[in-house]
Amino acid sequence: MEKRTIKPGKDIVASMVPNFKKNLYDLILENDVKEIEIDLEGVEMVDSVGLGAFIATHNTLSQNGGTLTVINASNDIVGLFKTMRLDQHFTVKGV
Amino acid sequence: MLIGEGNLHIYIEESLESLLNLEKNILAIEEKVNNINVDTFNNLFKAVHTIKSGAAVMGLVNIKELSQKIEDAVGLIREKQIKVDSEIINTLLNGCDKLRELINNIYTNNNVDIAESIVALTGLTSTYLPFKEKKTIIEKIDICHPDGRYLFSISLFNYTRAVRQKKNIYLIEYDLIQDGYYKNKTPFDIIKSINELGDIMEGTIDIFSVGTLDDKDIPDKLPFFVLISSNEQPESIFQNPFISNEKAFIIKEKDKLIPVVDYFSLNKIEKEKLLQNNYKKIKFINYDTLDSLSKLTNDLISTQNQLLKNISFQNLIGIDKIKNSFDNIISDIYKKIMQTRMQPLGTLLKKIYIYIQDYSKKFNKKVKLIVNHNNIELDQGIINDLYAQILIIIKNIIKHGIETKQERIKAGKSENAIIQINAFTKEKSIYIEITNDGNIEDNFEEKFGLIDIKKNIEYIGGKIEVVNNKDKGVSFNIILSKDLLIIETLLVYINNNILAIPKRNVVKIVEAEDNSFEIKNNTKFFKYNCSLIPIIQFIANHELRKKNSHNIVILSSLDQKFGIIIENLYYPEKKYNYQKIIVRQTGIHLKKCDEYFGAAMLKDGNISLILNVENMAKKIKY
Repeated sequence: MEKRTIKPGKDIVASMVPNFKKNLYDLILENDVKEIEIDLEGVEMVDSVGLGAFIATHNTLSQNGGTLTVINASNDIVGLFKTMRLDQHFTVKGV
Repeated sequence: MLIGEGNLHIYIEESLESLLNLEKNILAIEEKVNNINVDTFNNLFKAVHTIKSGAAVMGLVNIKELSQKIEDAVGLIREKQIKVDSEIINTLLNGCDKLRELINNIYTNNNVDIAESIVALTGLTSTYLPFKEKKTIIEKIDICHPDGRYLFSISLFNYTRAVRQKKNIYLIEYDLIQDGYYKNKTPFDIIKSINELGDIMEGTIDIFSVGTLDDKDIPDKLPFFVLISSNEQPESIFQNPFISNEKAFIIKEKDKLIPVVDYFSLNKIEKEKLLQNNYKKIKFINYDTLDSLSKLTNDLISTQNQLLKNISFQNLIGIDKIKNSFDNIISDIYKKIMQTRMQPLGTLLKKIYIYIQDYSKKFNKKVKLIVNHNNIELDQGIINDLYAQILIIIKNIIKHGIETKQERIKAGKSENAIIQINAFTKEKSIYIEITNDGNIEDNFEEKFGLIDIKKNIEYIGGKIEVVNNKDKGVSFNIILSKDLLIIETLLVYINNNILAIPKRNVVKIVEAEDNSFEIKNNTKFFKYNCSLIPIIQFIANHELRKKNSHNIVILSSLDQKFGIIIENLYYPEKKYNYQKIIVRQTGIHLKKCDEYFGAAMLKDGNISLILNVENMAKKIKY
């Protein structure tokens, strides 16, 4: 099972989400990657549309039998994901 | 950081100071164990609350959770439910040490394993809770949206704690896209705002409404449901700019959701009444207790029999009065048992949402469940059996009936398939209709295991009808009698045994002379209302010959009438022989005897088997 790590290196907000989602889409649906790891080093902010992108990635991977892992998330972002209970759907690891 | 580096440093400083106060006051409790000063508790709560509320606002999940556990334990000490000893003090101080470690490592606090401290503190709380509340630590209550969607479960302990603290509990739906993104607010802003309103008890994002990567870049909605407990009144809560009245509910009595818009339409007295502390109304439905109550009833009945026997030799004045009062007590206990055993069907059906998500994922389908339960209640004994069968049906509908997303689009259907469970009462029956907008495969009966499902539903006294409607697809209709598990029966003697016949099957009791019978094709018939109805005879012919006339109970089931000859009515001197009984399942030895539906203990302590008239009717051949 192929695993890929994506490192956006910037805040996951509405302006970058279209490209971000397209990259993930290509990896999962065209290159049949089953395990995606999103490395959030350098990411300070995730907005609502960004949150939606994580969930859409999780939903797509689930439908294809894959899994999503988020790593190197800042304290804030881990707190946000945990408060929203997203850590119950995919793995979220802090720095 | 969420609220900036500067604020974080202030939080660390303040929290470490509060932690020192916390430890100091915990030690003060130990020193003055029999005379704890009110100020000690106030200082203690203030310290732990400062740490907890700051952590909540800043997304420091572990610090918040651990300080909450310490607060719970301290709360029980204040209520004098925990008797303080050195072991308890050590557990609390260990918790404080862990808190210090988390605060000192603020950037990595969410990754620190706090399980050991949480288990120790939860254990402490659990050990010292009053007996009837112990199970609240592990018991969960389901929180569902008023439209029936299951959202999440919370521990009964957390719920009762909030109610005990006279807090109001609110379920609020935020839309992170409409209320957040389009209003230029980040999710952090929303979380911060929620934490300022009260304590977050639980939350969930409706991830299925977001779609997948091939959907729109900006989803139409991203609902976040959050349950908070708060000291605030609805009026001040809903001044919060993120909260829309239409999407907020006040939770009362565990599963009753009152829309805030309805609250605002009440007058002052009605509002106060609604928000009254409802702690006393919480029912702890504990099946061990129920069993004890049943045993108690047995004991009471035995005592009654014994007492009557003893008294009968002494001919005391007032014996009738004593007997009547005994009868009343027993009758009351029965009524209580009957009431307590009844469970809302809706609560159980809502749990199916969890399975829908799992099955949908497993079979790669998109399914939306709609439940309409109409507040129907059923006996707990039947609900669990019924639930298992409904789950099997739902699973098979998703597996063999719901099309894939692509197939649905090709067929011009909505991407999301709909499975609907509609429960309602009609006349004397409860109907549970399970419909779907999929396309169930041909010859589905075997794949569904329908024979077993039918058998299992019949075993609990119900039936299932499968309707294949060309336009609306295949639907599954389960029909149960409303009084299924607590049923009114006619009590009769046959062969010196007491038998209970469900009243719903009894048409009439008639007396018949010997010449009223006819034998045709080896079957005995009885002339009744100008027609011949078959007779099922349990009593041997030579016994019957001893009498010239016989009592026959005319029964009706499956549109068929038949009769059984009885020796006598159980209460021949009484006009009405019907008695409500609590049906108990028969043991494994009688499971194959499908003429019996169950057994029951009667008010006088005797045991009776209950006839399954439906199954008897099936066996009549002539």
